[in-house]
Amino acid sequence: MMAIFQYLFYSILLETPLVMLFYRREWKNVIPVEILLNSFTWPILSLLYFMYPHSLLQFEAGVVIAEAAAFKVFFEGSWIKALLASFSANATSLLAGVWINHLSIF
Amino acid sequence: MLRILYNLNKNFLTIGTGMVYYLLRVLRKASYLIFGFILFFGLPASADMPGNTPRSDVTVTIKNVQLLGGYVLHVLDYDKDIIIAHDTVYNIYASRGVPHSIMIWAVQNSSTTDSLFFDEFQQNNYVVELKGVSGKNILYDLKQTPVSTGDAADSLVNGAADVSLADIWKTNELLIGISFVALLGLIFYFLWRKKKKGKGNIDAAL
Repeated sequence: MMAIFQYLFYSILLETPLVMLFYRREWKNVIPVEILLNSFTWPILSLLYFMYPHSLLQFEAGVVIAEAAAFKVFFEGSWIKALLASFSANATSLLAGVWINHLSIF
Repeated sequence: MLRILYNLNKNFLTIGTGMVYYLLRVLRKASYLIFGFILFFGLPASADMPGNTPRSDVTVTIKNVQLLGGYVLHVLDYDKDIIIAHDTVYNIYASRGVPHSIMIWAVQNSSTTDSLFFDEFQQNNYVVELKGVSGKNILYDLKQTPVSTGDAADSLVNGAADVSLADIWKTNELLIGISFVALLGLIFYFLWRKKKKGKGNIDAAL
């Protein structure tokens, strides 16, 4: 059962440096926020993905918006910057997940 | 005369204001009732909320695949297209929201048969005894056994299903727990940073 949590760990590992690139001046804050934010969104995404027959992309779009809102709240910068950071980080982890698990995005 | 009219008007105004006030109070109470009704209506209605009705996994036992001749049997489970080459017991794991269903059909070159659908919503185990293909139809006999009142073999399967369901519940509870704790962590971190920033500003001003 605990095996599934390795993917949460991978997500944090992949996404944190990418978000740090966007918020270089606040890199120290990025670490706890990214850990907490991924620990919040990843379980919800996993639950919804296993329960409902919607595509992974639809759920990921929700995650991108939620994380962008959190970036806007926690870090200094515009909405566009927050959306870009969230999109880049989540797109990378999504593609890595698809590659590791042979999942279908659509 | 004017004074009498003034007093009457004043009284009417007072009564009118009182009535409007009373009406607003009633409406306010009614709005609580309506809001409460909307809020809790989903519970007795078993609305389609995640986790509304725990169900067990069901099995689809496919027998006599070799009788399909040159046809290849396919199972579509969500987006996975699985080829069934031998007799198989296919497990449809239980969903707690939208029913989990599978589609079965057979293909030979460009010829495709009509599809059969099975899901776990009815909570029946299925036994499909294939007999062959006629035109666009798969010929088969279907037996259904309710999951809860099955025979000994079914009970064994159901036992396993219950265990797997319990495991899924445990995982789900863990996922929800982690998510909730993380959300609390985010809120506390936000408040802590806000407080820290506030203190920093006061120090700077001093």
